[in-house]
Amino acid sequence: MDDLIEDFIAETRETLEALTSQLVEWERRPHDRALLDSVFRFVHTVKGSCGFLSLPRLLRLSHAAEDVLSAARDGKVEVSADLVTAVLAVIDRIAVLTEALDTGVSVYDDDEALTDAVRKHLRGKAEDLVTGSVEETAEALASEDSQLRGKSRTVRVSLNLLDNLMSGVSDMVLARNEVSRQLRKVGSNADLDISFARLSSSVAELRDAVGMMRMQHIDKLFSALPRLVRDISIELGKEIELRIDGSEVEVDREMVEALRDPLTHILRNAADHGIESADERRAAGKDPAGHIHISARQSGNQIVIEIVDDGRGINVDKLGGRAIAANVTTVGEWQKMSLRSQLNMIFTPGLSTADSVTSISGRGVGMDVVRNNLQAIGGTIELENHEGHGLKITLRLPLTLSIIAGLSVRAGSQIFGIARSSVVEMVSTSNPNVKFEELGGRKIVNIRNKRYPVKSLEDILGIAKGAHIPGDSRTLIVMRPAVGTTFVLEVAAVIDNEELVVKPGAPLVMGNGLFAGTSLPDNGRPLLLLDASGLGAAMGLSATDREDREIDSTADVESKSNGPSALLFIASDGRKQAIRLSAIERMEDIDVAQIQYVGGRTRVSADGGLYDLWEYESAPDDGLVKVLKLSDGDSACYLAVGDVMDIFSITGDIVPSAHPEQHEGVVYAFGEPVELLNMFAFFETSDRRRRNRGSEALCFIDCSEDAQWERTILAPLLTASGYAVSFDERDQSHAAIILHRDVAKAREQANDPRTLHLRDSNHSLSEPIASIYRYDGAGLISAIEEKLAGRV
Amino acid sequence: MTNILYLIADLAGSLVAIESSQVESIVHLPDVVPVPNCDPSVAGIFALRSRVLTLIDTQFHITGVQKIAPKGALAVVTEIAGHQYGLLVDKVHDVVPMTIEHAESKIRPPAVWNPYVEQIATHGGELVMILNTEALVSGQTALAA
Repeated sequence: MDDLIEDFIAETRETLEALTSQLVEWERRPHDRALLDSVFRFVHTVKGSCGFLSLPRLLRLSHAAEDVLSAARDGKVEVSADLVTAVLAVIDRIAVLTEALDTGVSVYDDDEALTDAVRKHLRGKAEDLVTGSVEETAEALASEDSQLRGKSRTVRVSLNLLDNLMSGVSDMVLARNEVSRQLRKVGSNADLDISFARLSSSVAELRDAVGMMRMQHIDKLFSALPRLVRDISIELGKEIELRIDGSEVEVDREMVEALRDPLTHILRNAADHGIESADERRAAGKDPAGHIHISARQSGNQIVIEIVDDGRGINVDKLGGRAIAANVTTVGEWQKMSLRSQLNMIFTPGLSTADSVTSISGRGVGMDVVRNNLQAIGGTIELENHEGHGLKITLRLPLTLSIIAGLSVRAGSQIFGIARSSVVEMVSTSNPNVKFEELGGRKIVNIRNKRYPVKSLEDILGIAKGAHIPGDSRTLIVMRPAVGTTFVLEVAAVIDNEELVVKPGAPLVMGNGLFAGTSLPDNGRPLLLLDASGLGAAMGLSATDREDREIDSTADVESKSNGPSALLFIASDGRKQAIRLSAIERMEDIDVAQIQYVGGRTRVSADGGLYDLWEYESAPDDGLVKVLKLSDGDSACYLAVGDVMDIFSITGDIVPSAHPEQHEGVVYAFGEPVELLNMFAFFETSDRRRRNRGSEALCFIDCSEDAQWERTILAPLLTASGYAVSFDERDQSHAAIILHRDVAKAREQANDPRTLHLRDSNHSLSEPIASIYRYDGAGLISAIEEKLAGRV
Repeated sequence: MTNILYLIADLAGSLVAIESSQVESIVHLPDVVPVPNCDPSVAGIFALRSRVLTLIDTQFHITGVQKIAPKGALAVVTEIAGHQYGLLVDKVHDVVPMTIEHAESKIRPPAVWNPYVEQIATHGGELVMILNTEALVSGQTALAA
C-alpha cells in the first residue's frame, strides 16, 4: 500500500506541475473548453485514486470539485470567476494535502469551507463572504506550500529508457567479455589485469543494479484484486473475503504484466464457480462468507503463488461428464485416468463445469488460456482439489523472465540452447546402460531399464548430421517438458552449461513451435533456444501427460531398487573417483579469476556468494576449472575435478575404506573398483557460523562499559562461533550463557547454572571457583556448548 | 504530392526504395546462424551488438530461390511490430527525397512483386518500387496471396 501512495504522490505532483500553467490560463479564460476539460480530468483522477487508497479528505475535496466542473462542462453552471477561484482553492488544498502525505505534516482541516464554497455554485448562489475567506486561506496555504514540500525519492522513467539502459548494459557485458578474451590472448600484464578486474566488477555491479530496476513488488499486481473481488461479489450477490499475503515479494516487471490476465481469470473462476451462495454455504455448514486467500512467496529461483478458496471445489464426475459429452475423452479412458489426470481435464479448451454462462466466467475459455499464458512465461500450474471444501491452485514461475539456466548443445554443425529445467539427465550413447530398440519403426532408447522415445535433434530440425566418426559417442538428453511425455533427445555433444539471456524471437522464427526464443551468449554468436514441448510435439508424441505421471512413479520405484546413482569422474590428481549424484547440484566451468585463497581456504566467488573449493590443485592453461557444485540442502561448496565421465548406479555392497573420513568406501563402476568420496568432510568444516545460527543462543557478557577485552576480543570470538552477544543488562534474564571476569560477582552468581567465569591467569590456583582461562578459546567454546547441551 | 526521404537499394536486379523513417541502420552482416525448419524467407538470425535480429532473405519473395547470405552482405535494419529484422539487399545506393506521383499507379510491376510494393515513384528518371516492409516479414502467406 505504501508503494501505491508513493506512486499516487508522485503522479499527483507531476500532473499538478503540468497543470499549473493551465490553471493560470483557466483563470484568465474560464470559458475555454479544453482547459476546463484538463482541470476536470485532474480532479477526476485524484478522486478515483483517493477512493481506492482510502484518503477521505482528498476524496471529499476532489469530489466536490468534480461535481461542479462536471456541471460546468454540461453547461448547467456558469463558469464565473468566483467558481474558478473556489475550484483553484480546492486544487491548492489537494496539492498541500498531497505534500502532507509525503512529509507527514498535518494540515488544518477546514476543507468543508472549501467544498461548501464550490458546491454553492451548484445551487447557483455564490456567497462572496465564503469565497473571500477561501481565497485568503488558499494564499496562506500557498506560502506554506514551499516549506511543506518534501523531497521526492522516486523518479518516473519511461519504460523505453529503461529498456535502452538494459540493452546498453548487456552490450557492455559483451564488450567486456570480448576484451577479456583479447587480454588472455595478449598475455598477462599485472597493471592491466588489475584495471580490467576493476572495470569488470563495476560492470557486474551495474548489471545487478539494472536487474534490480526491473524488479517490482508483486503488490503492483495484487493491489487491483480487492477491487475486482468486491465488484464480482456485488454482481453475484455473494459475500467474499479476500486475504492477500506476501505482497512484498519482488518479481520481474514483465512478469507482473504477464500474470495479470491469468490471475484475474483464476480469481473470477474462484468467486463465480468456486464460492457457493450464502444459503448453500450455510447448508453445507460453512461460514456464509466465502474466503479466498492469495499468497506469494519466493522459493529458490521460483515464485510460488497460491490461490486458495473454500468453495465447492471441482466436481470431477461432472467434469468427466462434460469431457465425454464434448468428445474429448471416452468413458473407458476416463475411468482409467488417475485422479490428477482427470482434474487436469479442466485445462482442455472449451470445457467448463459451470451450469450457466455468466458475464464473469463459465464460457469455457478460462483455464486453458490461463495455462497457456503461464507456460509462455515458463511457469506451471497445479491443482489440489478438495471436492466440497475448496480448490487450491499453485502457480510456479521463474524468478525472471529473461535469464534461464541453460545448456548449449551441438547438432550437426550448429549450436542450440536448452533450458536446464526441462533436462532430467544426460548419458553418453557409449554408456553400457544404454540400449537402442525399435517399436514399429519408432526409435526407443532403454536407459537403465527405462524406455523412452528417442530422436536426434538433427532429424527433428532437418539438418545435416555432419560426418560421423566411427566410435565417436553422442549424447542422449532425457527431457521432461512442462507439458507432454518425457522423451530423449540425441545430440552430437553437450557443449556448455551457462546462464542464457532469453530474447523473444520474431514470429516468423517462432512460428514452427520448435523454438522458445533466441539468446546471445558471451561468444557473440546468436543461439536458438529449443522448446522442449515443441520438440516433443515434433516427434509426434502426445501433448497430454495423462499416463505419464503413473509411468514415472513406477519407474522411480524401479530406480530405487537399482540403488542410488553416483557420478564417475577423474579427480584433480588424475585418479578415477565416484561421488553420490544426489549431492551434485550442477557441473560448471569457472574462471580461475573467481578462485582465491582467503581465510585459510581456497574459495570460489560465484553468484554473489563465497563457497569453499576442494581438491583444487593448479590453474589449467585455458583458465577454466571444471567443478561440481555440491549441496547438502542448506549450504553449497565446489569440488574441482579433472573431467566428468558417467553416471552409474551403486549396486552391491560398499566395501569399507581404510580412510573413512575421505572415502565412504569402494564401489564398482563399470566393473572397476573406485573410491566413493565422503562428502561429509566438505560440509562438516564448512562455516561453523551458519550451522549455529539456528540455535540463536544469546551470550550475555557481564562487564563494565569500558571493558576493552570483552568488547574487542571476546565478543568477536563468540560471534564468529555463531552466538549472539549482548552487553545489555536487560538481556541477562533470558540469556543462555552469562560470561564475566569479576571475582566478586562469581561468588554471588555461582548458583546460576548459566554462568561461566573467566580468569586472567593460565593457572587456576588463585581462583576460588571453577573457571576458564580467558585466552583458551577452544576451551571456552566447548564449555559454552556443554552448558547449552546440559540446559537443553 | 509528398516529398519524403527514401533509401534506394538494389533487390533481385531491380531498383527499390524503403522509406528512410523505417530504416534504423544498414549493416554488413556478421556470422549468420541458420534457423532450421522455418519459413523459407528467413535466412537466419544474427547479432547486432547485444540484440538478436532475424534476417529476411528478401529476394526469396521475388525469385522463390533461397540464397545463402555471405558474411559482409548488406542488410537494412528495421523494426516491425516490436521485432527487429535485417532485410537482405544486393546493394545500397543513396538516401534521396522522392516525389510519389500517383499518376504512375497504372504502371505495375509483375505480379510476384505485387504483395510487397506499395507505390511506384521515379528517381532520376528511373522507376523505383517502394517496398512494404511489413509484407516482407509476414512469411510465405504473402507469397500465396
